[in-house]
Amino acid sequence: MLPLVSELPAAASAGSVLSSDPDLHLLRRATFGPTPALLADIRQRGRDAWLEEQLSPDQIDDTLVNTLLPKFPLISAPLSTLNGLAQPRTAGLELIKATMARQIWSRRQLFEIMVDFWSNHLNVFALQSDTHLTKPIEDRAVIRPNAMGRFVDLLLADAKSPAMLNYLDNAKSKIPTPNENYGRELLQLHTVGPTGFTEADVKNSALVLTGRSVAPGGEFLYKPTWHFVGPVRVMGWSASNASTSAGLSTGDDYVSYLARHEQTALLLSRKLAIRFVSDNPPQTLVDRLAGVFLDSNTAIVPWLRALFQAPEFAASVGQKTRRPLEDVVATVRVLGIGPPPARDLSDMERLRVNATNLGMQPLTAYPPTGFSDVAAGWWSIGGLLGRCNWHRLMARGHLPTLPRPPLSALIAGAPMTTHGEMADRLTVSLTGQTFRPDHREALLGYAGLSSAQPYDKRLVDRWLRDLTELVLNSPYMGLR
Amino acid sequence: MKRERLRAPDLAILSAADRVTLQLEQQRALWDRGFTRRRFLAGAGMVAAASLGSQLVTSRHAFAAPGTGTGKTLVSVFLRGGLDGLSAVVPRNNARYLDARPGVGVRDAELLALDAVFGLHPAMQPLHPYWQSGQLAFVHAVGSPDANRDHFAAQALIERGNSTLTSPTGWLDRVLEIDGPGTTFRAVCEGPTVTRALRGTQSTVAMTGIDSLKFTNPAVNISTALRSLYTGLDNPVEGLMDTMIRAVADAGPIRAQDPTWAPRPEYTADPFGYALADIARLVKANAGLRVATVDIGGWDLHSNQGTSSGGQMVEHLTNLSRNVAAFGTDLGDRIGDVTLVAMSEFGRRLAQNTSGGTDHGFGGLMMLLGGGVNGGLVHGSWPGLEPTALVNGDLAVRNDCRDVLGEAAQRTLNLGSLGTVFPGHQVRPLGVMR
Repeated sequence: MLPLVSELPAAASAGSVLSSDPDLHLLRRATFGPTPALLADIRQRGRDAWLEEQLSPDQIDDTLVNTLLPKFPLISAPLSTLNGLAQPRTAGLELIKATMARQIWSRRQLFEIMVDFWSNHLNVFALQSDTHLTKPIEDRAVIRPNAMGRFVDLLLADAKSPAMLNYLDNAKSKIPTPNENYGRELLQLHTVGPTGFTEADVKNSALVLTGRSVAPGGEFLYKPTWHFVGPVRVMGWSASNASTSAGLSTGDDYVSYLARHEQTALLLSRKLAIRFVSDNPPQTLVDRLAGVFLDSNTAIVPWLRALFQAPEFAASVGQKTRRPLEDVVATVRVLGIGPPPARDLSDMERLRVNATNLGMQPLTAYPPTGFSDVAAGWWSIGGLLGRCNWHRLMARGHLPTLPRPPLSALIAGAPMTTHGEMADRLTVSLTGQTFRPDHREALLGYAGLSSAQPYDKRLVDRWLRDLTELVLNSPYMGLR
Repeated sequence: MKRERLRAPDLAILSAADRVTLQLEQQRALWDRGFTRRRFLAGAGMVAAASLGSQLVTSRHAFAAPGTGTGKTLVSVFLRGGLDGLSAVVPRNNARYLDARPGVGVRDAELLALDAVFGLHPAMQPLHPYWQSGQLAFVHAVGSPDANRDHFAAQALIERGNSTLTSPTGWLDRVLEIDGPGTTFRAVCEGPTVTRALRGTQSTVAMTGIDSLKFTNPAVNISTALRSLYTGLDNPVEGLMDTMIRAVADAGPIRAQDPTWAPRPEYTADPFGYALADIARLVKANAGLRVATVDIGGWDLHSNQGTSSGGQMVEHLTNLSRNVAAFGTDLGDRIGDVTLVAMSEFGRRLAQNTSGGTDHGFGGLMMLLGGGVNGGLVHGSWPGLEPTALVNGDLAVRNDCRDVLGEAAQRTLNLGSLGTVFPGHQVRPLGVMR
């Protein structure tokens, strides 16, 4: 029996500047960015109650997002409507903006992270001519219904998803020489990983999947005459595959076999631990998660619960960094910026462009490997500079059509006596914690201030934008 | 370290900034004893995560004034997705080839002349003059002998220069280690992130062009504050801010040499064309550029590859050839100081599939362009396409990509020895350099 999250000791990660406060640690990892309101909520209810609620996203009232989504009608439009679009690309673009809106304003934060995780694991580039109409359908019919369900169901649905079948060319795969793209990536990227099978297995994998195609209207279509008939064998799985009529169910049997394979459990558990724990997670944790995954028939909720209850998780404070998209989303969240109040979605477009400029527009990783999930994949000079310039914009009122509180709200409260007090209040609002003393002096020093000085409202008013920008540029924001 | 010029409004706060600088220097003296990074790497088990900031290793930092930059430049172009080498450099009059590729194959009459065995895809015409002038060479049936047909693993093997995936750093990172210290711009990755070949201990500037290295915050003392905030982190991002600030400062004088710079019209208006133009700009500005990398994707053509007269393959080869040729033109005389080497993670299957494409194969193609290249030749040994010569139905890997990369790096950068650039592999030059 694993301990409850609340029973784990607050384990400080040696040398990290991030606070080892376990509430804050959990929020930095299980959301797209802590906010003062979220921190107050978890402090009041406790980590276990908060996490359990996040693990049952359907129970969370998400009125704000539900009233926002009708502004993106294409993400729920039927195929017939999508097929009639003069500019089909707008469907893909709308999905990207709606995805960012959900990451920013949904209360189902862990769910949105898992949607992002699976969308990246089963990557489909959403802006190509044969995916921009079908990716919105994949998002609502394949990824979201299964993001916290069972992996085997997710993979079975994905293996019939027109967006995936187009992206990895299976829609065109037919006898006698099938297209191997999806058959190979299903093994190498989606399930068992790069080893443990032969080239003959890859060719058999492609044969099993022949016939899984897409109708002209964009619906899934199994084409029996394209399906290979005859014995097939991949790794430890085999089937007589004796008829075209049973071809689809034979394929489902094969996909289910892969979903439940031990190598799959290890690959996915490592990926999950990289997402939530560290760039190079302990093998003990990966092994244990793989056990939970297999024991629960690939159910995702017990797997996530085991991860957040792991001592390795508790001990990993500050070992992850925010990727560019996570920075964009967290910045909007922590500044308390609200969703677009009217039909004007120009700032959602600005947000999308900002993420694109930083190299991480959601749902648009081009190669089937998806986006990197480690610091080395993202932290570069150009990337850091781009973030700093983005934070400067945000501290100076970028996204003018979105409602936002004044920056003075970040330091509101009882009267302050020193600039040190002001700095603490500002950093707690933006990062949930005070800065290390030398870092606090560096922050204030930028404005020509110091901690011991008596609070001078006139000076602080003049420098608040710059101080906010600097806090957003700091590692207290960049690390998580 | 360059000293920033002070602007009038900032003089008032100099004393506070100086105080912080002093504290920072004292603090850094402590952290720089190798304590931070080593302990982080050991403590977190992060053998793969060398410092992303890397000021710990690269000590000398100097901008070479215009005209004083010496040394040559190696440009690594990675064609992501798996270039179909058999479409680019085509075996002539080969019945095996034409039988296996009834739709996507290129017929002899369409090919540009290379030698008795091979012809060049007509879409690569812009590069043909470089072949004729002896500045362009190819290596066929080349790759990592240990690669499987997985994009990620095959790319990582080449970029890490290893026969396993255990080596955490990139081969170009190890080249820089041997090459020694240099300027801020001695290693440039054109793109949003550092490519795997350059990851490791040496400082690398990843950017989308030197024009992008502009900090919108005009305050001079922001640098002091930012450096201080990124000190003592016990995290690989330690020091990255410092490198960024130096790069921003050093980019100014390079841009000032040609304030109205724009890519020449011969380049295409896309990220690949812009990246090559920017590299040529750095070479001509004597910025001290030793190693540059650039990516071009889109080669994973499993379907609708097209025919020799049109389609995706023609578009991609045209784009590649036009921009590399523009790069040569742009460099002018300085082409003598540059070697460009293009590679991909693997080739494609010999036989096309039913959707008019080619699936992941094995043996691939490399291309070299530059003044020092032993051009006008297809180097290496050629296994042919007879059934017995194929590996799982694909062109074999007969030539090790490390031999090509090693020779290009050693001869271009005048490295004494390749040391451990390719762990466990002794480089045997194929003669790709003159």
